[in-house]
Amino acid sequence: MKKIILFVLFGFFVIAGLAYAGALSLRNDLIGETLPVSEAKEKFGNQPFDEKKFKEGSTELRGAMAASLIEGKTFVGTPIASLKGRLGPHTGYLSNDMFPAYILNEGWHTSADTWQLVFLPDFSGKVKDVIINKNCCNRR
Amino acid sequence: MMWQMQLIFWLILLSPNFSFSQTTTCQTWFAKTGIRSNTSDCDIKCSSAKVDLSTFDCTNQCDQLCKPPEAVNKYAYYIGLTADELSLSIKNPKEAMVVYEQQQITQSLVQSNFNVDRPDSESDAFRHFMWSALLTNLLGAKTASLFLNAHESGLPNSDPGTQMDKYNNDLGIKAAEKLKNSKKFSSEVEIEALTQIKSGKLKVLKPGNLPAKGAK
Repeated sequence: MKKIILFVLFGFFVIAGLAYAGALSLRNDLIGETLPVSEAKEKFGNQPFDEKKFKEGSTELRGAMAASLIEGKTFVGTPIASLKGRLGPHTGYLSNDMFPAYILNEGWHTSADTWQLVFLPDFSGKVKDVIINKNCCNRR
Repeated sequence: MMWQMQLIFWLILLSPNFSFSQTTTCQTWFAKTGIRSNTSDCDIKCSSAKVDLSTFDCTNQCDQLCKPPEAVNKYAYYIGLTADELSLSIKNPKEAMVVYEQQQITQSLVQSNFNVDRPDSESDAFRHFMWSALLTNLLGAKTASLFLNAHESGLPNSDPGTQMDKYNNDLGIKAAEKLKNSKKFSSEVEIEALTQIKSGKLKVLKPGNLPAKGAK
């Protein structure tokens, strides 16, 4: 009996581990290439985040506020559905319209990569993490 | 990525919390009200929340809407699928693999033809046209439509972005049926999509993101 219980427990942990690895792998594949906050500061500048200014601001200003927004964890725990109202219509895209994304630089003018701020949900539809990932493009 | 998708589908299917719940207009409406489910005053707030013509009967579903969200919705959201997409994928895992694979291919085509990928712009129109055409070619129009509509189920039908996506999906399906005997199907559909964008045939809500120089 003890062996059976141990076998079931072992099986459960193996399956749970595989599921977790699978979900993480899918999510990483979904996100693609990311930009660390330190590099974002170098590329786009580092201004303190201001919700109103971000909503009304240019792409350049949004880029400059991105690092501060991420480091301040301003929106972690906020319902994803409320972000459009607070930060304005999405200007970037990741996978589908459910992920709020905002373009941070206009790379197409200089043949550089274009990056975007993306809000990732947890299992309850609230912001779990905010990242900068590559919007476009492989072409040069 | 195939093994991860299969694994997730099967594990969710086997999960005791699993149910084939669908994202409805009322669920979307409820999410937008900001009312928290599973709280003591949820019913009262929900019953008195503002409705419009498309959601006027949602207040009748407050008892259901105030329950904790179904597990499947949570899983779906986390991995970037709508609840309907996940339900459909679990019922049709083989087709779901094709859908997922073609989505990846389509996204790489967007990246190779546009300078930036913006919602409701030409790149978005191109994505929907291409994806629906590729799916129709591999799965047939009926199955392709099921998956394409499930992908759009996260927002109400009245949403302009959803209407744009569905319009361009329909054009993609028609193009696939027209070109189905072509030997270079993918390449010809891609050219057709870019031609239709340039001639203004695809629906675009936020124009100004035309294909890049060097696109097909």
